[in-house]
Amino acid sequence: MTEQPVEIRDLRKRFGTVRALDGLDLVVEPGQVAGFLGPNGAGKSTTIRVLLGMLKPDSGTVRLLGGDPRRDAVALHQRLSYVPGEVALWPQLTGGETVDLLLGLRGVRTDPARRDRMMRRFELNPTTRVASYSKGNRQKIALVAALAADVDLLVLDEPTSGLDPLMAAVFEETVREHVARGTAVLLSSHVMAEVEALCDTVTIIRAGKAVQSGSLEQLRRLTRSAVTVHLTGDPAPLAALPGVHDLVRDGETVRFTVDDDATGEVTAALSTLGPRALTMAPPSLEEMFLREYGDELAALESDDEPATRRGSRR
Amino acid sequence: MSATLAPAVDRSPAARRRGGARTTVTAGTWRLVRMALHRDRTALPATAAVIVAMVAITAASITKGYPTAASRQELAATLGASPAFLALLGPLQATGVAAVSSWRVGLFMIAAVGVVVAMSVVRHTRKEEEAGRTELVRAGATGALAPLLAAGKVGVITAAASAVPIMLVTARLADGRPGAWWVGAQYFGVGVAAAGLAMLVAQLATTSRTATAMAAATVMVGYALRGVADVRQDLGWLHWVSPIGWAQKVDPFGTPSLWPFVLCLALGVALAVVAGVVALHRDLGAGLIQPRPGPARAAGLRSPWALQVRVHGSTVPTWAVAAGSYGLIVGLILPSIASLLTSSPRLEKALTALGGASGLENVMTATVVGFAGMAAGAWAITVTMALVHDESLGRLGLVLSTPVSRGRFAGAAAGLLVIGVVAIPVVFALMLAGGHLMAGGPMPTSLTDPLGGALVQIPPSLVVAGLALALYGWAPRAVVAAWVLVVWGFIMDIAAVLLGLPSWVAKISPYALVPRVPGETVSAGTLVALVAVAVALAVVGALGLRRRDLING
Ligand SMILES: Nc1ncnc2c1ncn2[C@@H]1O[C@H](COP(=O)(O)OP(=O)(O)O)[C@@H](O)[C@H]1O
Ligand SMILES: [Mg+2]
Repeated sequence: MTEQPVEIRDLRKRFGTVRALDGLDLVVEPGQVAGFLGPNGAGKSTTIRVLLGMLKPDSGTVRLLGGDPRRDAVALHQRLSYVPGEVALWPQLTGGETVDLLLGLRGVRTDPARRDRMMRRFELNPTTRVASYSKGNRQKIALVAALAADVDLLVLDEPTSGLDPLMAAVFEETVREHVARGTAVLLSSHVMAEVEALCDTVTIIRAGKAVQSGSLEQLRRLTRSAVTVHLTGDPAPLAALPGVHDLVRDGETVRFTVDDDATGEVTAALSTLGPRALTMAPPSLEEMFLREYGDELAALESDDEPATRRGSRR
Repeated sequence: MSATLAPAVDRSPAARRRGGARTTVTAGTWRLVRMALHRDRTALPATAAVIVAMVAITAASITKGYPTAASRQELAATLGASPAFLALLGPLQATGVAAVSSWRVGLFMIAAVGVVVAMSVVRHTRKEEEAGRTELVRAGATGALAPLLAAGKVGVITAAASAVPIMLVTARLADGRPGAWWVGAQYFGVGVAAAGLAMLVAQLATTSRTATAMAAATVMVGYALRGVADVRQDLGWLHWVSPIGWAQKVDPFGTPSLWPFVLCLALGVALAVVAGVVALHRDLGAGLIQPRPGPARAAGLRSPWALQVRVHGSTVPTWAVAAGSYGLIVGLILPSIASLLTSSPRLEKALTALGGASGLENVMTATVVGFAGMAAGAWAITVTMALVHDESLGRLGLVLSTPVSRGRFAGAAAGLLVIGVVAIPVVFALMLAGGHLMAGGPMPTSLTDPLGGALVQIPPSLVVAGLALALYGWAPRAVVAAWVLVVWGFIMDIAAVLLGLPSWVAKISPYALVPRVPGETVSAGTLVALVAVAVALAVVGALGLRRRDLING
């Protein structure tokens, strides 16, 4: 499989006056798990629906598995599975029937043994009618249908929003098995831990535009690590270094943040100051995410008026 | 854990195409058709059975009530030639049992089949899309047009499921052949046209409720316009504006004609093609008729009562105006009835015995106002079923998690039902009166006659609403059973005119218990008793709601 699973360039889509997507770029490489992060209303689901050929883009290029999402929809959909954010099912059908139906709609011949194993893993009873299912159970049905057959691409829109932690763990494990066989994944989420655990690359989207994207490593490099250390000496020479920021001193405890490329210099300087109990934490995804949305958070905290999420950045 | 999964996929292009599965915009259509039929496996046969039963019962009642050719000729010369029946049923073309029964169930039932087909198509298109299930379907290897095309095919199958048995029943009657084939063509043709109409409307409206209302109203306006054409010779061209009129021109027992039937099919196909073009060019979930943004604050929306009115209240004006449009048309042609009468001395003689022209006007008014009453009952059932739907989505649980008691919620629901059940017949009567006055009807009887008829329809409609509430309170999934009262009323309305069934059979429907007004004298006792029964049923429902489990708390 050489073609790129997902390639989106400068995608724009508006609904009436709402600009849902405003020049979005998003790429999923073969065999990679791409995280797609953003708060509610950022445009994640809209992007995915464009990718599945259900919405017509206003402008921009969208390629899915080397094909056109609208023109080649049927052929492409045989090679991917999708779990929507809001799973609506047919109340009259049973769980087992629904999974068979969804597999059948993709043109997959069900392997009953594999399907049953997957239903057991997700603790679903195939004979229960869907009408009595909770949101989490409906989501599990869609997950089983998506994961019970091999595909080239998994498109998952906030797939664990209704799952308990145990089931979320089963989900992660099953996705990893697919990835091990070369499946690419597009995973939209706002659960940072899940993205950190599963994803090779991350795209952070804000107001319909990608504001950060790259591998987790690359993103970490853009953000400072947090350092906590006990110093017997005077920290003043540290504060003078160009890569050090936000230094605070609390008795012997010194806290500061450090730019990624200044790490070498800073550790060298530290070693001369008699350091004890040194911790140096790389930034969490959550911190990176909050950095992108920091202004919005500040607006929320400083002001009772609702923050305008669509406002321009910085 | 990878041991639990099958070995790696064969990713060769051949394997991907999975045995040459079709990859066009219509791929997967038949799978969706099978699935829809599976979901409709009880509703579709049940609807067809009711429709066919009405035809069979009518045929039996005609055979029994008018056993001789002479008696049927008498019927044709009197009622059959009367403008009231012309407007409702069209002209009677022959006097065999099959011809008379087809005429009696006739065009109204054909229109009803059209509405049933349209509702089915909307249910499988816009309703699925609204619920978010089309998104899952389209994410499969399903062409962009497959859901629409599948719904159209289900619509055609639904039409055939009514048309074919009706054709067979008719063919078994003595003079049934060859007219039976044409009768089947009438039902099927209108069904196909209605399926096309619904396919298009489902692309334009963004909610299934709007789509259903638009499609049903269009069919019923077509039915009413051909009634105008039958009464007013100068407006005969109105036969040609709707498939119901075309169906009439198929004329099974007069001089049958194929091409109005072909016209119905062609219209259905043309509408379906336009629907397909719209579908290919629109976004999933979008339509031309977008819901407007609403108020940002809940001004006055602070009680279960206000919630009911806000959420389901808009159906009252929709139904009232839809039914009332029919009333308006009937009102406009009422004066023509008197003038047409003088042209048939034999009919005039027969009717003078009944009370003359005003007697016929009364029959006409009472009959159509009776339809308005049944519409009110049908509305009450659909609203109660919507309450059950709300509950199954957890909305009732949300309301009851606040300090709103179940009794108070039931009271709010009952209040809404009363408003609709009163408003629908009254608006109908006012619009009928408006039409009659515009056409030069006399004051004040043009107003008081239909209004009196409408008021009499309220108590039996309240009983239907009460039964719906009682079922809602105890067995919410069984609310659909309340349709029996309405459908039975409709059957009896047909059968009782023509045939003396044992009276208790007819009286199963509350609609059969009230006098036909204007014309017959009203006994306050019956009306009061019906209202009392309705209140008792509503109380039973409230008690049931207080003690039962929610479907989805
Ligand atoms: N069908 C639609 N009609 C109008 N606005 C829409 C529609 N779908 C999405 N939007 C708007 O587009 C924006 C992005 O929505 P969405 O893609 O659902 O965000 P996310 O999935 O990231 O939460 C939101 O402002 C939303 O209100
Ligand atoms: Mg979303």
